[in-house]
Amino acid sequence: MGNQKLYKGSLQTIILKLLAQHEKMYGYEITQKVKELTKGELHITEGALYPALHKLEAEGLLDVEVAKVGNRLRKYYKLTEQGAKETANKLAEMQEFLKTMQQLVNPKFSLD
Amino acid sequence: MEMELTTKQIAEINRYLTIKKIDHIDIKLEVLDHIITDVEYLMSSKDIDFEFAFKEVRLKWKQHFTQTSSFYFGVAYSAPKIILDNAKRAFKKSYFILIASYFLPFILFLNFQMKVTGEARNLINGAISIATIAFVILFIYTYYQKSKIKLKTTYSFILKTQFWSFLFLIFPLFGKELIDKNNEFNSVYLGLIFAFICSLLTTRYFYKKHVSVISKYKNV
Repeated sequence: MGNQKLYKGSLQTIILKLLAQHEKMYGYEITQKVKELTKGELHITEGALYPALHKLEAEGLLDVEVAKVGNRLRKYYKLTEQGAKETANKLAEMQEFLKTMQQLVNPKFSLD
Repeated sequence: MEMELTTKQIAEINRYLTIKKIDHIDIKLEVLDHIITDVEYLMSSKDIDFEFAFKEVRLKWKQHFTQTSSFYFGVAYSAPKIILDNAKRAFKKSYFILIASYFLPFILFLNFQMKVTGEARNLINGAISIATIAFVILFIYTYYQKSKIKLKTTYSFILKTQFWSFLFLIFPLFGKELIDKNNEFNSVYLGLIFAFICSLLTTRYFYKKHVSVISKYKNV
């Protein structure tokens, strides 16, 4: 749980990746899915989640759909076409970042 | 299996949000759904009653509901943090364009002189005055349209904070002219006119966003 700051810069990529795997998701569902996938290691707070979702929506990467679920309205987020492309870009950036970090944190020694 | 809150319990959460001034539908419905789902989850997973679960969830949201104000809108316009943060994100770019729309014409036309005949000067000043009146009518009409919609959104909050841009018209309203008798441009006047036009466009933009958000929720 002490790694929350490290994850902060990756929040948008995490959201985009999740939405690429699911047709549409709502806020609470995203927080629970992340908790489940990371076995409780990463906990997305409400204060971080909604600004990130609203920003992605404003940038045209996410589209919103409102549906009546039971006795209330629910706001679903789904990727736009532009959002799908951006997800691929962000994931590639993330891979590159992880590779660089790996080299910094755990450099492989060689005799060359 | 997760339990579902009763209408009475949902009404209590709704009332709490209203007290906290979370009444902007684009945020409220999302927060309301999140709180209800969280409370239902806590009641099932921890086997606690509604009051305890709701108390726990309220604590999580407390800091996002505190009244706050921002440099972008001025201290007179406070709102819950979650609303204000969303409004700031939407308005930030417009704010800097608005500042530039005043200062750029002001600096470019500072000490600018234009040789025009008295007739041409009157014509330009007259055209500017007519255009100003048209802008004012459109500005007032936009706020009139907004006032007819009772529902609030983040965008209606932004619109509320921008009504002061009427002050940009202080020069035209006090009978100053863009080009004076010595053929000198009044660059302050010009800057204010540009700022007002920019403000008017911003107002129209956010009004359309306000209407589009409302229609999204109303059609469900």
